Amino acid sequence: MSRPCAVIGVGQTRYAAKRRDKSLAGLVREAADRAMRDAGLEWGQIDAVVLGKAPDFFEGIMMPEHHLASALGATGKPILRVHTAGSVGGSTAVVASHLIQSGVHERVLCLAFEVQSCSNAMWALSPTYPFQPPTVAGAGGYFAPLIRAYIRRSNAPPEIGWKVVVKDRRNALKNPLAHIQSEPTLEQCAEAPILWDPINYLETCPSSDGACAMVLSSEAAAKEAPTKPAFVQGTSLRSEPIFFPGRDQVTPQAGRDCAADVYRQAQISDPLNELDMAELYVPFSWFEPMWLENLGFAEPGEGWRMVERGDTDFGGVLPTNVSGGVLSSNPIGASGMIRFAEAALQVRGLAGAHQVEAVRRAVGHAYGGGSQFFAMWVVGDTPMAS
Amino acid sequence: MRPVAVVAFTHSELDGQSVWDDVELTQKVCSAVRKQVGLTQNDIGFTVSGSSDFLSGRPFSFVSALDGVGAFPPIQESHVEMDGAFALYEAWVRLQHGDIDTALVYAFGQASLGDLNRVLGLQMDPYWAAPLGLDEEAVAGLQAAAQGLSGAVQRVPLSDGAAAIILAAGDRALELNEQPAWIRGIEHRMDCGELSQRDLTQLNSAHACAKALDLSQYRIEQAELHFNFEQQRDLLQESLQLSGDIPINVGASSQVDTYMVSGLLRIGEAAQAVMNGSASTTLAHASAGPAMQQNLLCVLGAKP
Repeated sequence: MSRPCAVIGVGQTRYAAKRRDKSLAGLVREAADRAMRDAGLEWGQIDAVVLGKAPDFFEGIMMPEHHLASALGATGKPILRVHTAGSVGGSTAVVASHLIQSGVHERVLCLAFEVQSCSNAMWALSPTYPFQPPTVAGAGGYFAPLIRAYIRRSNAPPEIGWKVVVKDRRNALKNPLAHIQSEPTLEQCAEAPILWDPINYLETCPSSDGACAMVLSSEAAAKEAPTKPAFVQGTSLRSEPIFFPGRDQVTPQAGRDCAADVYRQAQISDPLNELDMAELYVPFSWFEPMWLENLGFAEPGEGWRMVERGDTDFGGVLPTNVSGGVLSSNPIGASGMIRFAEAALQVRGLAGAHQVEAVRRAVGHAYGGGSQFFAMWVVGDTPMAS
Repeated sequence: MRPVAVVAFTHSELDGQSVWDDVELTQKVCSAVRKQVGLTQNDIGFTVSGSSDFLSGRPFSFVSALDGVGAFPPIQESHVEMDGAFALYEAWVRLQHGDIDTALVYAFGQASLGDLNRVLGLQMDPYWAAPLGLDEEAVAGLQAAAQGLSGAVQRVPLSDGAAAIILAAGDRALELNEQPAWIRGIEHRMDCGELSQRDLTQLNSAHACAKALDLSQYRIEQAELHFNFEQQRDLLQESLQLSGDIPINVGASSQVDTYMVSGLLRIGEAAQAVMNGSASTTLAHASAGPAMQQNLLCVLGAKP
């Protein structure tokens, strides 16, 4: 009963630590306008808007979709506001794809943003709960023990984390929108100051301002698009509680289930060989090998060997985060959608200097909370045969 | 569209300040609503909730609420930073795909944790409106003045609470409830973001929803409307062109505003009237944003 959904427009802002040149509405509009231009559409052709962002506390504005309605072209239209923690950019795209696949709408604008310069993300990401000791200092504080556990389980050597940083930041040099535009050496990575043992400064994502938008449409509407569309071949959302005894936080079941679900829809049995590239949510470098295992690209304990062999490099078996990834640009609420959008750009052949050759299928991935919320999609150059 | 119905509805106590926290409230309504139709969380195809971080004064308040759902094995789940009525809309869309037949929708809100009037001032445009110190009452006052009313605005009493609804599609709805409340139509719209650019005496988005639903085609027997100030009742009735003899807010939970939950409660009450046979067609309404900037309408009926 579900019908095909296409990505016909992608628009991103330039990402930076502080975008002082734009108001909140102006920044959102920068991404939206670019996506609309890419799709060759006028605002009147958009049926609905889906907005995503991480906690409203980052900007200190409650439910910003209300004051941003005009900037988003949502006046007189339906608008949904998604919030699923760090995975939200991905979830927002998935919710928007549902509006197309269900047959409710023909063309939907989805957009995700964060203006992290409005606040200090580290402390905004250190929520305190009544009657619980405040033990977490930022996302790094939460994830460092998981990385330690991964290293202990897999016996991975320390340079794996550094290699991922060097790769992603080198890739970012080919992406003019990326926030960080400098490539460190392995030696610099080795000597960078520790922030949360074992995560060092260079192995950590930046805090960015920025927005990412996509126009999704039905297959019929995609035929009228001026450029090649990417088709959504599968989407999935999975969540599990943050704490319970026996929970495997290094390779959470929700992530495994999410991947299995999206591969099933896209009829993929061997993801490493059937997918041409991946945009994975890697805010700390060690999450690359962790997710390679969690998402079925490597056997448990073997993900780091893919990094060591250069399999995830530009030109490798599975080029991963050729846009520079979260490690190079991180407007948190948008970071997930950037993964989804970059996967679509690769399939459409519109990724510019960081285009991988002959991409027919790509995967976008986002996660959030305590490695507990997962959103994924597979996009390809044809719709799935029903 | 694939026929989808409300098959179960429940809510927590709604008598002002709650003694329970968000997780406890969520746990109570989710387990109660599943029990009504004999389902466990493993039987639910899609789960989606509505809540706001600004009520509890910390980011990610919905994350711990998930503990109250029982989300392991992992579930297909989403969250909107909106009233639960909009979460229900997302679930209705998801059920159109045809691969799953049931959805759990819940919402929670504890306005008593802060000063809601001032908190809602933080919704305003940060450059042009918020610095003026416009809080919820001030905006409602502007709207009342535009209506030609004088005197203090009267707010609907607030309560903390939570609500949950189970939706089911097609035959599955009839298996779970002999008389489900079928969603005959559901629409939502947003008005422009600049207060100064709106005619506050016209709820354009509510009117647009009514038009999209072709509301006049239905013989509405009961309407559950969501407004936070008494004077907005008239505005809403006019915008929806509701006949004056339609009983409004019959439902027990409609007497209070359970912020972030009220819209879902109105849908629940309108559905309850159909499920218990006291009405055959009902209307539910949800609103959000300064001066009812955003509106949702849902028509429920005894037949799909």
